[in-house]
Amino acid sequence: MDYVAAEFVGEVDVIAVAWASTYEKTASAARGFLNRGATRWLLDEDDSVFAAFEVTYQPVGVFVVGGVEVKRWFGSLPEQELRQAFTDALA
Amino acid sequence: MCRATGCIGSVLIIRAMRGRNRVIVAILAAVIALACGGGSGEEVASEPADPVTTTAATATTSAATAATTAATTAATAATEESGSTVSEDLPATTTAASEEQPVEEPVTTTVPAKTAVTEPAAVPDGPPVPSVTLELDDGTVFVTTEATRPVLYLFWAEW
Repeated sequence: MDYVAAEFVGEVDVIAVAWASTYEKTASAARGFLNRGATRWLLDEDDSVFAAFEVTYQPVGVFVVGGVEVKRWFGSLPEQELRQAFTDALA
Repeated sequence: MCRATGCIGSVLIIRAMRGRNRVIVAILAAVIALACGGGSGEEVASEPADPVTTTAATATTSAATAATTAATTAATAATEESGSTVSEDLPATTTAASEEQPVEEPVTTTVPAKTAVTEPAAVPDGPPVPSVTLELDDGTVFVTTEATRPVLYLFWAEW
């Protein structure tokens, strides 16, 4: 996912919201998976962000354009579909 | 003197006649009176009211009017003749004018195959993003409702 996000740096903000873990473990995983500088992350320690977005499982992707949710999906998207989702968000 | 004699004679003659002949004689009398003294209808009319004299004056006026009408008709006829000449010349003049004008080249207008219509930007349809303040790993603060460009939120876990 991170390498696709790298193609849209400066055009799309990508924020990874992690839960149910410690900061150290999450940071360690982020260094391994999100190492292109295209995705920023945070640990949702009290699950407030998950609750605000009404997400009760993971992984889930939510695209927001103009303050409105335009696309939501569960699981991992194939590379082409993920790239298309970025492109659609910029259209 | 001549005019007075003419008038008296005319009156006497007119009174002796009836109908159409009376009118004709009245006209002749008026012509004679004009020829003698250059009298006018007004002068005759200013004399004592005499139906016959008045008739003669009227006839004089009518004769003058007829003459005027004839002259007007003649003038009109002359005008018509000249007018017809103008009418005949008009097309030629018009043609000459047309020949002098520069020939306009046909204008070619290109019509686009598709009309470019600027449609308004589509408003995203979906639930509004919840207002949440996020403290990110790089120390920045991100407010979800203040984003200026598209945002992808990835909900995940390290395990």
